[in-house]
Amino acid sequence: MRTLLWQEAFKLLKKKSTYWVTIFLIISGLGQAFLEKLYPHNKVLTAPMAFSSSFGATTWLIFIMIAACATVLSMEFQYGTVKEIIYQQYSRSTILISKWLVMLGYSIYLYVMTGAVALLGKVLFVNDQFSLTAIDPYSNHLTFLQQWLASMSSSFMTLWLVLSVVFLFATLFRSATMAVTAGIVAFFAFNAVSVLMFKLITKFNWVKWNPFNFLNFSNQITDPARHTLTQLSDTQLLIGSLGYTALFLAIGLFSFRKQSV
Amino acid sequence: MNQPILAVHQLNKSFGAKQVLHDISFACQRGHVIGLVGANGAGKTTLMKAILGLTTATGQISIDGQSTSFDHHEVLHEVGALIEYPSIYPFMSGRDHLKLFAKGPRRHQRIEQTIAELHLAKYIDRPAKGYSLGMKQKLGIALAILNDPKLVILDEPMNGLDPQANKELRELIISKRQAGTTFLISSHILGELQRIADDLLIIDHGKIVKQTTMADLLAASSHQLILSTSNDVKARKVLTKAGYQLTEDPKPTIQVGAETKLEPILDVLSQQQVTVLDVQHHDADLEDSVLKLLDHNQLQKEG
Ligand SMILES: Nc1ncnc2c1ncn2[C@@H]1O[C@H](COP(=O)(O)OP(=O)(O)O)[C@@H](O)[C@H]1O
Ligand SMILES: [Mg+2]
Repeated sequence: MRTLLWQEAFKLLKKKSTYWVTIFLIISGLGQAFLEKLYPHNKVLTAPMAFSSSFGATTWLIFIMIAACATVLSMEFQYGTVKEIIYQQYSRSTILISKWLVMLGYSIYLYVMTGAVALLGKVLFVNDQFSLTAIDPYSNHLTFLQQWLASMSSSFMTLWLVLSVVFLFATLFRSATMAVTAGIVAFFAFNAVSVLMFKLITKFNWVKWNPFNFLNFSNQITDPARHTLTQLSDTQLLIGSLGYTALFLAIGLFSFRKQSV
Repeated sequence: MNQPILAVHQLNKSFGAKQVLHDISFACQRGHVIGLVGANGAGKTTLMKAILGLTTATGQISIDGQSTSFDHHEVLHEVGALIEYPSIYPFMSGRDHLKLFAKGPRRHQRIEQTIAELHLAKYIDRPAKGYSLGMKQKLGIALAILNDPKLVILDEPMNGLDPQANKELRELIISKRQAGTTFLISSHILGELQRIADDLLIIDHGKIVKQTTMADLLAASSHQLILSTSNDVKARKVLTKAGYQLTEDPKPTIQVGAETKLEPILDVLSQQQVTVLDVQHHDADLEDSVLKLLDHNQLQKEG
């Protein structure tokens, strides 16, 4: 297992895109913080709002992680290297679990890194616009700092719910395109159909247990009013997200264990 | 230590309704080079994939005395392989590939040794996406022997290699065999195996039709003597009378066993005043022998 983790990390670090992603996120984070400095009185995206999403990084992270998780498995099929990995002494389960763990590590790295960039951007450019310890008037009496941390950790949960779907599609179809599409649809197209879903929930209460509703976890954390739409408590959303993530990963694992290559 | 390094017992494999391997059983002795010969589509790759746990199959496979399967194949740490086409990560250099798959102690030394053995030094640090097919093939072979495995499985390893690389590979296999490594090598280019294989497995339509040693196969295959004489017509008569088997060729061509001596033939001709100007030996090569075998197999099936 340690060897497999090491191999996955080695491959990740050999990809140039890994470094470009870091550079891009630093530039985009600091860039957006700088824009807030230039336009301090804009009402569309105030500095505290921008800060709560690490100056836009949270959304970029979703794109980046969808692409990373889709390719980490499907590239092995595309290049044929999956054979070389499997005829080592390790079982198929440990091979896939190693990939999950390395992607988990990568996502944590990206959150911590963009978080640090956000703090830096705040201090450098918009320090005078708000204080981290001030209470955010829109949220449930949290300080901006608490609000930011809550938003990051809840979006992390939602990200992994999406990524579990990406992994599932990557194992089933062995194609990065299919997996990326599944991830994008799961996350972004969801916002388009959510109005319909909320209508259905008011009609049939059990619809609230469908996996899409759990994508609302991070939205509800930052906007408690959502509770009336999702009909689920924060805790229910958290546990449900974890449950669905585990379920999708498990189905993918089960399928991968049976696959001939 | 006489336990075979690889033993396959009653292996069967089907893709849907199509059975690709039929009751395959064989064993590989340690330190031998075993050639797996068969036409395209005979099932060579599928057999190797089953041994390596890449594809499901029913039957028993044991490597170095330990049984191995699709789900449990810890013993494969003693095996190196190259299956079908070489698989590479285009974003890494050749050396990165070796680093990625090198295991155990003395890793660094083994990487350097493998680069030297396969003469990879010139391009090993370049990105692998620019490699030619032959370069990729050599990198794939390097990965197969990198960890000093007891058993090396190579699927059509000569594909894409130029004659020089081909010769180097043969020498490498021979020297590793002397050090005790066992090789299972598939090929449809039979001449390649003739020079390196100790044993042969001939596979046809998913069945092992012949298990033999290379020496036996060559001995059993026909040799011919082609004579040029001062009087070919007379020579033909004389030799037929003396009981030799002649073919229809214009030159007196004698079908002989491996042990036939030339002297009595020359004697019988010179007694009849026929001068022998030239004698050519013609050995049927492996290709002919195998083709004959496959033909025979085909006839039996039809008959
Ligand atoms: N994944 C697969 N699905 C269906 N049939 C296959 C598959 N792989 C191989 N075959 C069939 O199995 C037979 C043996 O193929 P293979 O082992 O690749 O032969 P060889 O390596 O001797 O050329 C062929 O008839 C081939 O069409
Ligand atoms: Mg083949």
